[in-house]
Amino acid sequence: MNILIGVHQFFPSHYSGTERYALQLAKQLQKMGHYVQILTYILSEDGRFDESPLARLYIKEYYYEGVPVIGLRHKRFVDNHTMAFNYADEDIYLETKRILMKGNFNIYHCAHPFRIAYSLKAARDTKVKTVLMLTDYLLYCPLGIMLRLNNSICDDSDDGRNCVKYCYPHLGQDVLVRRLNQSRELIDCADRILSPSGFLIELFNHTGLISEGRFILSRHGFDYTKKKAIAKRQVSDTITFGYIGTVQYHKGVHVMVEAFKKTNNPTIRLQVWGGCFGETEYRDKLVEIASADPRITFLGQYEFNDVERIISSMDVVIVPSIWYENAPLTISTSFAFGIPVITTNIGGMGEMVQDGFNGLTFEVGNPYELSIKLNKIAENPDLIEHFRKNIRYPIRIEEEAFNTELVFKELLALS
Amino acid sequence: MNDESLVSIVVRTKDRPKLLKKALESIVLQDYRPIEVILVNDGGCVLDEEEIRGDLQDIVLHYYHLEQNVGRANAANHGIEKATGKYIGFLDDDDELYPEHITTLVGFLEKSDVKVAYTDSLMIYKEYDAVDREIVDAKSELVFSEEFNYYRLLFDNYIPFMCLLFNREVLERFNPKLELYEDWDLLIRVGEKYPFQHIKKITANYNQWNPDCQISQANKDARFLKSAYLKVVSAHINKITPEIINRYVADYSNVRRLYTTAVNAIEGLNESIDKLNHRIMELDEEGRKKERYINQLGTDYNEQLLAKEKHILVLNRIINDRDVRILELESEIRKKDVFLHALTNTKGYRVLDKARRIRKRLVSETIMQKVNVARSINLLRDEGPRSLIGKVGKRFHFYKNRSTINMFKTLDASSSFRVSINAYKSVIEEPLDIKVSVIVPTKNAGVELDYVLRRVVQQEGIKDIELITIDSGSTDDTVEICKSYTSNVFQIAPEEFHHANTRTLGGEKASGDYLVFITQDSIPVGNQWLYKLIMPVYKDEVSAVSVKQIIRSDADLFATWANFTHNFFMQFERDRVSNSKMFKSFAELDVQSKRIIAGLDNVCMAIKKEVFDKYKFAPGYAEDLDLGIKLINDGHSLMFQASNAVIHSHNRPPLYFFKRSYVDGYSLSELLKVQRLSYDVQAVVESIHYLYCVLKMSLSALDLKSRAYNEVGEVMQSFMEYIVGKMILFDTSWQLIEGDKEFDDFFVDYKPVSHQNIVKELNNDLLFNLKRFADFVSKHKKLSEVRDVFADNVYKLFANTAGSYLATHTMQRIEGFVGGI
Repeated sequence: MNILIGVHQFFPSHYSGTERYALQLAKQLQKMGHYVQILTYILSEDGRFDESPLARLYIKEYYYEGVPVIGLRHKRFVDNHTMAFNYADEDIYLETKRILMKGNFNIYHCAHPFRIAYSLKAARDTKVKTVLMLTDYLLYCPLGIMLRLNNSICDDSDDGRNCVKYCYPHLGQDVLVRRLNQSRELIDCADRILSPSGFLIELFNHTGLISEGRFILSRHGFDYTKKKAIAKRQVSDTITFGYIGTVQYHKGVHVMVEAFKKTNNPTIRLQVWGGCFGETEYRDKLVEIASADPRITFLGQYEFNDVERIISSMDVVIVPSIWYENAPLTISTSFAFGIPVITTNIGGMGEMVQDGFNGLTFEVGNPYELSIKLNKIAENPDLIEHFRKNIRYPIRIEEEAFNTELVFKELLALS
Repeated sequence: MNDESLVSIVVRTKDRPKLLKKALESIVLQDYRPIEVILVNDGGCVLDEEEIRGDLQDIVLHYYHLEQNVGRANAANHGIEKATGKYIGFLDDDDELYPEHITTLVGFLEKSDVKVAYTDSLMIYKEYDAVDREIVDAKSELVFSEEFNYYRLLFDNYIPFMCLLFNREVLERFNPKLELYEDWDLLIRVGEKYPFQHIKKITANYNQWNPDCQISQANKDARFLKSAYLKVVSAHINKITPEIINRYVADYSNVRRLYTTAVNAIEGLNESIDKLNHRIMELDEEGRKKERYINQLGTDYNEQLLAKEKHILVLNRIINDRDVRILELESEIRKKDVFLHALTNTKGYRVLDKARRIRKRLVSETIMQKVNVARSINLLRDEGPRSLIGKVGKRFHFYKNRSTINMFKTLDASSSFRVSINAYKSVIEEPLDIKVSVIVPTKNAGVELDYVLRRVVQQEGIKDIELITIDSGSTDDTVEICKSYTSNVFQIAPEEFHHANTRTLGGEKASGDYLVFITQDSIPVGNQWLYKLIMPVYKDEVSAVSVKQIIRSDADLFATWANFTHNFFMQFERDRVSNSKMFKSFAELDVQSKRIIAGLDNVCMAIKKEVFDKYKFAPGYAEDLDLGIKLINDGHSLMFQASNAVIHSHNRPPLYFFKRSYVDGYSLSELLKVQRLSYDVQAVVESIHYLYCVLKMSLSALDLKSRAYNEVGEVMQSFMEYIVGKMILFDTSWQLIEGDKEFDDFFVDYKPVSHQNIVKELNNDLLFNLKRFADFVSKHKKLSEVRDVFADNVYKLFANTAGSYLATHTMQRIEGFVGGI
């Protein structure tokens, strides 16, 4: 098969979750004998660009870790806000059509539609089978995370009214309605829609934007090549709880610190890893609150390559986020190393962790309930081993690629 | 509020009773008390004093109606003389004060040594609206809000008079000789001795009237204004010192500079605006072009749509016709079914059926074939060609092609994906209440064994999973890992291990009704892998199942190519079932068909225990293929699932592939009854060594970084040409070139000798494989990624080729090649 994978941004300038997903999938599909190319949007003006023969775009072709990439950029600057609120882009449409036809692609897999949304229309109009992977809620929520600016969870846009009320007071409701209609158009372009979590399926079904039956559950694969040892709990008098991620409000770090301070058990420790991305006041306040408790240590920023080493040194990982995390990599990584997790009972988090089975869950934003769970483990350390045994290791990159390949094959068999 | 210090407001008026009323209202609304108003009517119209008193409420009024107009200065002086307050302020009859005006000023003065303070006022431009017929505020702006600057005051009166409040001690009299700017003159005199304090707050409206609205003598021409201005300046000329002039000039220069900058900025903005306007026009034009293009597209689209709709109508008619025909045929079929049922239930048919079975056992198939041909001819003659379809044609299909059978023509292409679709959705309708034993031979499996075993025990849909591991001398954590998942951990000595026997032992230990054999590094894909594997066996559709092997994400280039080639050779693209109905004689099939049909693979295979117990694994290599052949020949069906998989591949050194391909080739030729040639082993190995030396030399001569090469194919072409060239120019010193270390060590005991035919054949095989490899790599890799691994891959490819050649061109088995595989 000739497979084009579309993603809103890509290596080397961008390297977060979705980009890693696209790269991993591309490399594995290549290994399985397919021709794969990445289509992406380039934000930076650095480097040499060619001009598109058809559209008002610059093009840059390059290789990244053996995967051919074609990056597009508008000749006239288009800001993120415009692209977030109006998907219509004839230039992206025309150029994608040209790429699909020239490369003789028979599958277009869109890993994230932001900035290149009209590539889906182009694929449909070029009669290329199209698969759309939804890694966040962007098609429904302009902020992508269903969390309002006042840090409360959003369940329903109410036809854009809540968006205007809580997040975009300067916009008219008609703008949000138009955006939702455009999302529906794009969804209709996809022959198959994938989701990495059951929660996302439920959420989109609940909003009415995409019905449950249109989805295929396809969990993200984990890269096990760096896992060189099985994490073994060292016999110790202390239990180390750990947090790894950004120290920001919506990550619920304050809930965790407050919960820890409510516990008195001297045998437990809390390590907090992560930078604060500008929310220094929040972090400083937490450090101040925690300063009287010698059990809590803030260890600051870490390198991406250190994640697995850090997580595998913890006994239990805490993910206290107060928003609908979809398929949190922290939980996947913890499970890959056999480390149990205590997490909030909402979103993808509540889906991955079953309370009392492979970890513990607590009510979102409730430090009291979290402190009870911490004490439960402190008083019964054997629970950790019980949870470890029940952990299902996340699926591997190869499995995800295999499942995705089956989707592609099915589509081609039907054509 | 009733504060202590009395404030006197001197109001001058002349012939503006309505405006005066508004002015006085603004005094009444002051939040300060006590206030007295000194109202001086400078020869204007008669005013209703009682009414004014009533309007002023608690504010004391001292009203003076001057019979003659004495001028602004004199009127003001009269007011000052009559004022009794500690503080004196002024208000013209057409201006207004804000309620906090006096409070603001008195509040400051009472607490300070300053004698004069002033606030700010809004300048309100009044004009007459002819439409609504009323005076309206055309514009308002804050002007003159500046800190006190005496030298500035000498040149310009920038303080609105009604904003000032004076301590009466310092207030002088207006110069009655001045018809205009008398207030400014007063400020200059007072300000020289007592600096004023500016309070930055707007507390008054300074109304400016459009000349059309004015009925007073405000319309003064420029000459008069200039003359009045100069009078004031002249009166205070002695105060204008050179220093003051210098400061004024400096200020002027600053202002001039700012003005120039502003003008330039405005010009720049104008240019930008022009450019933008131009660009807007261009964009408009582009937009119009696009619109025309889109309209044209729309027209084309509509025409195409119309054509498509017409075509759809035609197709619908055809479909309708076919539906009708289907109904007719279904009716015919029902009638035939009734007839057949009646026929097969007759005594005569039952008797003949028995006779047919007996005859089949007694009479050879060849004879039967002839009989069937005769029958077919009769049918064809009597009932036409249609009679052959479904009756005879299908069976003939298998006889006519004895070479590679493309069995997928016999399967409905879409049916293979009925399983595929379910592969990523749950296929478990109801868990199977069965016991499945999963048997895993282990040795130094490493950390991934934990993943494999956990995956196995957490499989869904099977009630009882029995995990059995047989370890043959691990020195790492393998046994400990096994024990964490199962108590069925058996250990044997390393020398006791044998691929077939050890697995058979596992089968004997198993208590499940179904057996699954996997290797220690076969990673099941998904949580329903076991269910999907067992289901066809459970349903008795087939006797054994194998699955696809997915390449690992850390596989090297050669492993990737090998996996791809193997899948391609074995046609592992779709699910399939193979059985003896696909061929007449297994022995007469070509090698590829044999492997495809009988290919069981114990990297992952499932089998019913009672079937396995009957056959077991024969002690030898390729025990899985051997079992598959036996099952097929005994009438069992085997399934290969492309929709189910394990992750399995290896990165190995070249020497491993040399030995492995030899062992595989030898075993396959034995199993599949492929005739081997009987070349001398020594000769073949020496020839292999010869070619190996040629390779080393060719690789050392190849400059992979040369700019002449842009593609992998170009490099490979050059390389192959090198090989051909070097074959002729062989030099024994090439033995000393460093190649692959293990290979170099292996060939130490063998000289490189060109046994001509052997080298030629071997080289042909190698070149063929190199070309295929290059074709595959070119599709997926660019040259820069392949440079560093090119030599390694060449050696592996060579090793694979040489091992296979050795196996198929020599008769006796080379025992030394067996160890380590």
